[in-house]
Amino acid sequence: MSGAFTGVLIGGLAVALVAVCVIAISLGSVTLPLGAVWRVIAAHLTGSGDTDPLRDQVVWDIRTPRVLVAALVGAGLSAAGVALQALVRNPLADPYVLGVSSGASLGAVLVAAVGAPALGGLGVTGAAFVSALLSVLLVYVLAQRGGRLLDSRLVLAGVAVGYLCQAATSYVQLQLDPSELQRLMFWLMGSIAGATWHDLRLPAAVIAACTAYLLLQARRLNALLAGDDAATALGTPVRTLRLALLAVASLLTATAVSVVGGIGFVGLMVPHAARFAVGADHRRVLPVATLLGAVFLVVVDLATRTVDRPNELPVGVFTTAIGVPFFLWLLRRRTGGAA
Amino acid sequence: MRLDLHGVTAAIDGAPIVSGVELTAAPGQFVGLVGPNGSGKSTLLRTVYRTLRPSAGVVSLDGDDLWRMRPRTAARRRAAVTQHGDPGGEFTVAEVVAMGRAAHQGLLDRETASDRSVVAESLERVGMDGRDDRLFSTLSGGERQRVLLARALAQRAPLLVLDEPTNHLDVGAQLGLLDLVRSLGLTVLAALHDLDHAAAYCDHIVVLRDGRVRAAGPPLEVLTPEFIAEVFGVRAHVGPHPLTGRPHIAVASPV
Repeated sequence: MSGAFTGVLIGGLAVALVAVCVIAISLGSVTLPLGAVWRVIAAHLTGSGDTDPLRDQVVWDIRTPRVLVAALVGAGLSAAGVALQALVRNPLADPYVLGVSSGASLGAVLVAAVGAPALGGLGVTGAAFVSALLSVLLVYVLAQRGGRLLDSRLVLAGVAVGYLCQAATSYVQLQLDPSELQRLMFWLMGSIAGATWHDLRLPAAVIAACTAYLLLQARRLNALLAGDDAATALGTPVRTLRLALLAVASLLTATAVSVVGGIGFVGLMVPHAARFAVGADHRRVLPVATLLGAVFLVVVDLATRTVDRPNELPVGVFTTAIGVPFFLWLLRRRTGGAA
Repeated sequence: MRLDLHGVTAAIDGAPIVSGVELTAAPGQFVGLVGPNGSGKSTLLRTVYRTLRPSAGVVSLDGDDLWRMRPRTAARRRAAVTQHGDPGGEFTVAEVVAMGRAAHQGLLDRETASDRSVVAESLERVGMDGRDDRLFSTLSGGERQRVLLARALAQRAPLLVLDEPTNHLDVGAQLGLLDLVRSLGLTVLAALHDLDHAAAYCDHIVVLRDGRVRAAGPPLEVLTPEFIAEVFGVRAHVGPHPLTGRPHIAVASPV
């Protein structure tokens, strides 16, 4: 795979990302001309805030944070997917394989059931984050042996803990009154609506930092695929690397899920699309998947709020609707190759 | 590069697999590690890859404790072709060999022209030049093993550790690989299944059984018919190879 092709692809994706962000900001219940969008953003970036206040509110306070969150979550889930597929050496793994998503859902429904004060004042986001991390911790405890992570056990423990959290979530949901459940369902299925600058600063920073860390691990991820013996002989600190990848990918996923809910299949689909384009080498897969994930989620989020206007559809429903056929196609292609 | 294992004991889940192993590979020597299945050969090698820390004893390179080095420093002094060391997925030949350069690159370093020339040179030494863009998964078993050897050579380490490098190769590829390894002039420690290969290619043999060294020395001194019968439970004939004149071991089931 030529380096020049990858360079062009990365440049193209970066341009596409800016383009879809601007388009996504201009479209909505009120459609604004692209030029006006640019002017508002430029005014904020340069600090000269003299624009039309109504437009300013729509562009800067409502749509821009939402589009940025979509881009960051898409990028982060994709990078985490790449990292976890290498960590457990299973191309069909995704960021939720470690039970993060189910753990987050349990936290969210608990808040709704028992009320925030009973959980130390945590909101839905906070509780989802804490319970997501607790479930990963449980998976880690089950999968390690003397501090050494075993990849097969990691997947099995993740699946088991995931089912446990799902069962608990279903039970708690039965105790909720219908109106509460209705509100929560949207979060459970994934939604980027309602993102504001204020709530998003910290999660956005965490997602960006974790993604940046993963982007630097490309060479080590390549080595990890060769197995522990070969990777160690190549100079990779396998044990600490596995722990670091697990911690960073989990933190990233937990943060993303707690903010936007369960958006499935991005972390599975996007890494494979990237590999399809540039081969297996993580030095190319990671940047391509990260940018592609950002573009993908911005576009999907735009679709959820435009196809059935004025209603909004959950993002998770869209990504899964695209993801499942893709997954099945992938499965058929893999078996076809092995036969 | 001189490799010394001194009193090396290693356990898996508390059960000792190898105990008190003494082994030395002098600079440029080809040392063969032989023994029946389950004798602890691979476990011992894992203390040299640094995947299994010895519970007692020292592994040292030119007198420096291997287990006290930083991972990348160790990888610049010791390379390995392990069992099952092939990367999954659709890597090209050049990408697989480039993994060997990680030991010489920092986290933020990009691949340099010198990295690329080491990769090309390593492929040339194993006779796989010109196939950089072939997918690793489409190569034959013998070609894959050569590419993995090139990856180890790209580390530019003076010590090479091999775990049954001729497994699953056809006879031509087996001899070709051993000739190639022999011609590199590196210090080599190789676990070998085939006693005939061990006799023909090694300068020095270490025999492991039940995790302990049973004998060590030049192949013809160690691998006598009586000793082979005792350790492996087969009849053996030792003599010069009719075609090459090198030491040759023929084996047969016990009567």
